[in-house]
Parts: sequence; structure tokens; C-alpha cells
Amino acid sequence: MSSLNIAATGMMAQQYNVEVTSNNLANMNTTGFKRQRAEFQDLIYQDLVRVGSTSSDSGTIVPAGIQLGVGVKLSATYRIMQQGNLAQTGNTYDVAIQGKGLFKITLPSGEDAYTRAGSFQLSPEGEIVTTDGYTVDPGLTVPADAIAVTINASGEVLAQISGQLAPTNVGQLTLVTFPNEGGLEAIGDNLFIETPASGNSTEGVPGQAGIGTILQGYVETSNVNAVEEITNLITAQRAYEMLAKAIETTDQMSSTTSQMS
Amino acid sequence: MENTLFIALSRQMTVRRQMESVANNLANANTAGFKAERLMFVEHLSKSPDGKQKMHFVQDIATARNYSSGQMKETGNPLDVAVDGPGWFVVQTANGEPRYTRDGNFRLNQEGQLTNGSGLVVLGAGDAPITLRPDDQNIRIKADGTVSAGDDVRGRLKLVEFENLYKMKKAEGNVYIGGGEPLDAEKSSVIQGTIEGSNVQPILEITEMMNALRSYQGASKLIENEHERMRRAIDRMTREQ
Repeated sequence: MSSLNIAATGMMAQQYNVEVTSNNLANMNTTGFKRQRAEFQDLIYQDLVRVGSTSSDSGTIVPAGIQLGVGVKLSATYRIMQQGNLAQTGNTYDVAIQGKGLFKITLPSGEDAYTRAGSFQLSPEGEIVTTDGYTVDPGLTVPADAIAVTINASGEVLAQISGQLAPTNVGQLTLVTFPNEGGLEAIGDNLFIETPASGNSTEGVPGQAGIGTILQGYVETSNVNAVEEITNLITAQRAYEMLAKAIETTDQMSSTTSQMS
Repeated sequence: MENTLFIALSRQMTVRRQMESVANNLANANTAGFKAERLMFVEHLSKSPDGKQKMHFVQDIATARNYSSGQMKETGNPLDVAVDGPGWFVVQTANGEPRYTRDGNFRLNQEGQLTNGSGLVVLGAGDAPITLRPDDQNIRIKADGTVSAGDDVRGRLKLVEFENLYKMKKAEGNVYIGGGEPLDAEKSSVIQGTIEGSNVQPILEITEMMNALRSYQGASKLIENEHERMRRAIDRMTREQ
């Protein structure tokens, strides 16, 4: 009986739903994490009686046919690029983006990756790098004799060097935007890479029209909302239970048939 | 002579299909914009071979879809929209055919066009796609469907209504094939940051399922009893000879 398979597709879908939700919850305290949402679509329909087919010689038509669906599928795990909260840390190299845009990171392989997690550090050479030691574009080096470093809203890195009155401009952090940020592919370690779905990156200066600004001494927390995730979990669990019930009922119907003497 | 069996069988066959439709409803309990379905049954009258009696078979005549609104879930995502009222969003397939949907889980494709979850382009007024620019911020969708970024209007979502919803045909991927001419929406408005959930009511589905099981078992019992009755009749008739 196909209701077994139909209910099974539903159970599979709910299982993915729980997996996505638990990943969101696991990353609740991950800097710059963007929550995902499991989205579902119904599968094809069997037309037992087609809508609009002729029901008699005189041309009367069937007003509503019989369409039986065959279940559900996971259509996407959509990433919601909503702004997370800003948490103050006071660290010099912690920077948060307020608004649109991502930092561009150069991976050891030479490829580009993008991130919203702005908890940066200095490398032994004084370069601004991510916690994994990857260079933050455009690769700014803070002089070793700098006493204080200020990063302003438009991303300019200003180093106060001992013995100098005016701060030295070391360079500017840039941000990139995409036509479709939700289409970026996550590769772990808080990093994203460009895909055909995200479109091509556009580089810009923070604070420009359509690009966010930089806030020093803050990090962007994840945008996971615990209450929402828990409600999601509950709905998924209940749906799973009911589908299990549907399988049980189908099984009972089948056993009724096989026990007929 | 086997009419009783066939009538009971007609019930069993339809109950199986009813169970399939219940399972599909439950499987789609979390599918955005999904509408619950029910099979409608009628009596199918036919004369017995001797022409003296009327027999009442069960026939499933149609799938009736409940088009009432699903629960509105707030998501806060600017590109999530729901329809308040009987209206439908219009998306376009790769062949250029229109499809209608209540699932306003929209996003952008690589060209910045508004699409639905399966990548079909969402149509705006004048059947043109709505394109957003990479640097657009503060995307607002007003109740009349106007999409704007800041002060710039980027387009207006097309909303249509249908006179007879029962002519709508379901296609895969949360979209419908229209039935009859689409009319301009008058009674519908758009809500931004919200998704319409499915309107499946689990409690109804569970009772429907219990109902189906009992009907099925009842019909089985009837077949069993009828079988037993015939066996006994044959037994008795042969014994008296």
C-alpha cells in the first residue's frame, strides 16, 4: 500500500527538519552563524480522474478530479541572512558588520571565502587574520610598534605609533555583497564560498550605499532564536509521531486483509 | 451471487485510497502553503444481473481540497510573504507557463530576480520578473504587493484570484495549475515577513485515519461473514442430498 511510502517520505522529511534545527541549536553561540530553515515541497500527484476530463458523450466535464499525492520532499535548507545581535567584547580586532556584506578571506589554497565572523587576530608578522590564521582581505599589516589600533565605521585601520602624534592609516577593510546571499555555500569554520546561485561578488567600502558599517570591539552573535527552534522541534516531533501512526494504521489494514479466512 | 463481496470490496478499495490521501496530508503537515485534501465518496447505483435489485457500490468521485487559510507563521525574513485572503502568487515555469502558489517562501536567484523555492521566477505586475540589486537594503513589501528598496520601487507582486477553486489542479512543488481565467485580486493583500503554513489539522487526520481503519476492518468482517455464510449454505445443501 502506497500510504506506507507516503508516510515514510514524511518521516524522512521531519528527520531532516530535526537535523537542521539541532544544527542551529548547536551553533547558537557560534560567532556570525546564520540559521537555516528546512523547507518542504509536495511530490508529484497521481491523477486517478483528471480534472476537466469529459464524463459523458454530451460533453459534461469532471469539475474536480481525483488527485492523490505521493508525499513530501525536503526542497531546500534556506539560510536566513538576518542580522545577528552584537555582543561587546572590547577586543581590538573583533569587528562586527552592521548591515549587509561579508569579509573576504583568502584560504591557504589561494581561493576566496567569505565570513560574517569578525573575531580577527594578528599573525606573527602583524597581519590581520581569522582565528584559523587565514588572511583577511586586503591583507593589512599592523606595524609592530603600534600602541593602539582603531578600526572606524568605514573599515579604515588606524594605528597609533609611539612617538607620533597623528595615527597612521594602515589600510582599509573591504566588504563584499552578493545579489543572493542565501545562495552562498557554507564550507564550515564560519566560512562561505561563492556559488552560481549567489551570483558574483561586488566589493565595496563599508558605509557605502547598500553596504553595512564596521563596529570595532563587537562580534556578531548567531541569529538563532532558541524559542523558535524549540517550537520547530516540537512541531517536527509531533508530525513524526503522527506519521508513525499512519504507518501503523496502514499496517493494521494490511494485516486485516492477510488474516481474512 | 458474489455481489455482497464486490460491494464490500469497493469499500475496501476506496478506503485504501482515502488512507493514501490522509498519509499525504500528514506528510505535508509542515509544507508551506499546503492545502489538506479529502476524497469524496458517492453511491454508485447499478442493477444486479437479474435486474431486480439495485446495488450500491462505493465510488471515490473527487479530491476535495480545503482552501481555507493555513496558520500564519512569522519568520522576520524580508522575502517571506503570505497572502491574506483568497489570492495567489504567480510564478512562471521554464516553458513560460503560469503556476499559482500560496507558498511565499521567496528568494533571489543569481540575477537578483525574485523566485520561489524551486527557482521559478515570481511574476510582478505586467508579467515582468521583480529584480533586486545586490546593494538593495531595507526591502519592504507593502500590503498591495509593492516591493521597494529604501525609497525606490522595484516592482509589484502579481496577485490573482479564481472564481472556482475546485478547478485548480495540483502540481508538484507547492504550485497549482490554474482552473479558469485568473482575475485580478481584489480581496487579497500581502503580509511581509510571514509564511502561510499548511492547513492540515492533525487531529482531523488522526480521526480520519481511525475511521478508515475501522471501515476497512468492517468491510473485511463483512467479506468473512459472507464467505462463512456461503460455505455453510453449500455444506447444508450438499448434506441433505
